[in-house]
Amino acid sequence: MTLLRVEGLTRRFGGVVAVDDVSFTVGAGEIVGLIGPNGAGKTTVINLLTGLLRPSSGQIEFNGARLDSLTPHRIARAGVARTYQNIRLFRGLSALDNVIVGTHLRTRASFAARLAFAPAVRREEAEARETARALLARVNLGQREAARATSLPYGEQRRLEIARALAAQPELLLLDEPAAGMNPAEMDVLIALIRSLRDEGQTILLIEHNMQVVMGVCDRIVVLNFGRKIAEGTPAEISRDKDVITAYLGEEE
Amino acid sequence: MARHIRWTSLGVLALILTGLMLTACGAASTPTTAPPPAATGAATGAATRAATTAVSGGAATTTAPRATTAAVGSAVAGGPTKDVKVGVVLSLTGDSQIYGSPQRQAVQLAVDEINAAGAIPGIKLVPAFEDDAGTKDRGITAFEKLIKTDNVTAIIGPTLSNTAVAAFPVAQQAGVPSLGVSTTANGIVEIGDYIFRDSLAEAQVIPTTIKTAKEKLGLKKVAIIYGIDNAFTKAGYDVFKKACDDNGIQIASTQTYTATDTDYSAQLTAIKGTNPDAIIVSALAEGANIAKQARELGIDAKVTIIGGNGLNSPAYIRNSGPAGEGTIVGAAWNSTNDNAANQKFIAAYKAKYNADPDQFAAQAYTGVYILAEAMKNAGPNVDRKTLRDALAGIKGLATPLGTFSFQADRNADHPPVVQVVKGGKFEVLK
Amino acid sequence: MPDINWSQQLLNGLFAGSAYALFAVGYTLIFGVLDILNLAHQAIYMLGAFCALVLVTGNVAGLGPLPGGMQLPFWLATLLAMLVAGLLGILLDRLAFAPLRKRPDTHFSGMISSIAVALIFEALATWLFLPQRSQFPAGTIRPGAVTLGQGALSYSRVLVIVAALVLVVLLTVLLRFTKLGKAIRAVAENPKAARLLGINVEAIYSFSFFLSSALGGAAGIFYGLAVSRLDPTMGRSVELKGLAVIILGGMGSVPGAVLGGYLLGLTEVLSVALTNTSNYRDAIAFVLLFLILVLRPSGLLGARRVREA
Repeated sequence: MTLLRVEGLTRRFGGVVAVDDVSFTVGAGEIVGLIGPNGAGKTTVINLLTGLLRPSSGQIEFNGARLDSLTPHRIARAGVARTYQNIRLFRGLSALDNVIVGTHLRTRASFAARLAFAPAVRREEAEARETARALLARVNLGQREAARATSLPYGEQRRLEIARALAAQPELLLLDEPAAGMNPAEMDVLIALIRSLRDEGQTILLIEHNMQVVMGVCDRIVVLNFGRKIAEGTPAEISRDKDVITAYLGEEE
Repeated sequence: MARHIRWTSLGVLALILTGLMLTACGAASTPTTAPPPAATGAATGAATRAATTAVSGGAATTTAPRATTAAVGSAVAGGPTKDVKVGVVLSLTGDSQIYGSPQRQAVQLAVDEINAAGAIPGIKLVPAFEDDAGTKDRGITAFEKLIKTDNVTAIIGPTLSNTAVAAFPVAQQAGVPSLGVSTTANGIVEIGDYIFRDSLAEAQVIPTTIKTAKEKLGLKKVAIIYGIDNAFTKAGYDVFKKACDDNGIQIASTQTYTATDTDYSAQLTAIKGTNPDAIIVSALAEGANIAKQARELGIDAKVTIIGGNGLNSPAYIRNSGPAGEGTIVGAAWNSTNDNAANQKFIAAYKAKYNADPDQFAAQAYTGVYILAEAMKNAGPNVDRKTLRDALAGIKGLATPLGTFSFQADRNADHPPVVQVVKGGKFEVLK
Repeated sequence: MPDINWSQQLLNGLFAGSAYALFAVGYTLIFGVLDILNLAHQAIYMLGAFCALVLVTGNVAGLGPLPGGMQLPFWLATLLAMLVAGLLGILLDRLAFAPLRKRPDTHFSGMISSIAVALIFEALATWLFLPQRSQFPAGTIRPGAVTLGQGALSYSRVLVIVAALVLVVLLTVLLRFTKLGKAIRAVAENPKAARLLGINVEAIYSFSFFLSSALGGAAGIFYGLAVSRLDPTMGRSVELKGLAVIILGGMGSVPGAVLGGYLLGLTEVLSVALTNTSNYRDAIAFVLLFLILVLRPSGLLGARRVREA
């Protein structure tokens, strides 16, 4: 079943059309890749999906409900989580604390109860801690829970971000260039992680430059160039598509 | 978007204006807007009062009944009275209102008594109260308003010496005789020949205080703490220092504080370390806090606190609590002064205000009577110059302060008294 | 060099430092979370003190006695006054800061707007409590002092030190160990990311104002009790010093505010002890601030912060 439906999505900045009439879908349990040369509009699409930008026109539908007029807070509530191209961890907090903050959406105690440190709250906080621990282990960072986020090596920070995004138990996980700046070893770990997430049924929309990662994990790929969708299909289809090859001519990855 | 910005800017501007307006309203004191009762010659006011005095027969007059019409008509001792306006500048708000409040009440009492008795033939006293809030700026403004707009014949006040040194020059220049009733620093009457005061200067009181304290307590070594940025407290220090030197008392430590201080423990700690027999405190309202904090630091009650005129107020006793017991303060007046004028004053003040008067009230009350006497001597056509000359000639007047005269230099002339705080009251030190 | 009673002056400095620290901690919290200087913090400090005074004496100086002649024990009055101060903080946010949050110059315009609210609060206090000094009634706190070696501290001053310590520890526990505290820290670092994680950033802002103002009010109450003096302008004397303290400690850092507060308090007391006058006290304190900033521009415990949009 279709989890995400994007139709005629357009975004203008003054005279520049950054995203031009883009339409695609993401089915439940799929990993869809969103690729294209630099400046193709991929990050803009993600920002539109998470509510940081409003579309100039077009629709975004998630689980049957309209997303394009919602605030980021509401969209997160609806079950969409993302990671960032430039890592946006809370640097002053520990790895574990970062993930705990990520569990915020899935907690139920009211503000007043929190202030009173009611027993229900204490239980919930303990649960959040356990959840966070489990997630850290999931991304292979179990040993690093007390480390300050800034002190982690680059690859681990990326995985920490993914753990934090997962803490909100999202239905749709948006990964914005998770492999950027990684060495081959880190990339292998990342690919394995993404695959294992899909095996558990997590739906993922992946923006990525790195073809090795894209080809290795995606079920389907959507290709953008100059804000427009120029191709869509399986990895095999895309690698043979003439327009895609032309767009990437001269681009090394 | 532009509209949104405009509304928010307007909102912020509105907030700022509201704040400034409220501050201005709060600062404008009610005394200047609310007329003092019955003494301002309003027709109905005079009528009611004349009626009540006729009925109760309690007024001090035995002459013909008072007329009831406005300013012109009162028939006293066979003649119409003229309104003579006297400005009264006092600290009615701010920290020094502990002095200004009793002063105001005392002035009002004196004015009412004098007008009721028709004590000044042909003249009715009309007081115009202004609040200087204990600051120089407001003092100058008050003086200028009274002189130029209200055309007063004389001014009583201001409460603080600090204000007087700024405001009196204005009166001197305009030729308006002014009478300080609580200004005790130096350099006051030196401002000019239109400036008088009935309050004994610190320079006149403190030497007696120190001499007496030394005799009774055997002082050998003292510490002094004073406010460095106020004319009164600084002048007090100068006199205390000289008095100690003259009496062979060693000054073991000299500490200062500023008007914005609230915590004196650093200075008091240094003082405590020198083990003085007494601590001399030249302070205003903060004197009570200094006393309190001194005791809290463990400075024993054996170490006497000796104060200048700023501590000469029931507010000191009230605010310092047990810490103030035993404080020695020189004064120009004590409630146990047993002259007739003082007894009458105390009784009348108590009856009217249901509270005991303090020295500030006594001196203010006396000030009005001194002015009245001078006006009587100058005659009903008194003006600023003739009033000044009449003031200069006041000698041997019976007042609650004792027999009062002006010295040639226009300072007050009567013997001071040394007090001690005992059982929550000022008693004469025996 | 005069003979100094070091242990006593140390205690004096500890007292002054505790007062500064308690005031500064709330001040720096708002800066940390919202990147904004709340210049009305000193007015809430003052209003908190008066609120407690009113509850203890059962009387509003400019208006009259409270209905029912209610008079509360000090500890209860303090808790209630802190609550009121906290609520005033939320009101302050709604009035001065929230309407300007979407503007690009929000840090500056909010600051100006808080000056206006401070003026209003002060005028309100002058009307309600009269422009004169008041004090907590004698016996509000046990009279007498505690002796420690060569020094003594009145019980009210001990209370200031203890209260500051307790409240700062509570705040630190909240920030470090509870989810709410972590959420506050997350918002302080990166409100956008926090929002995307589903944190209600506006609610966090309101709560931060509540915390900050409750602490500021507490500072006013305890300090006013210890020096026996409250008046509508009492906030003015801590305003500038408080700012100096948070700059000294590193803006946005709670431990920095505490460290800065104690450093300033001790420096001030020692400067008076050495010069016998408080005339130079402020000058010396600011020279110290200047020197430390020259050596460490971001303050003692401040990190060079790049705020992420």
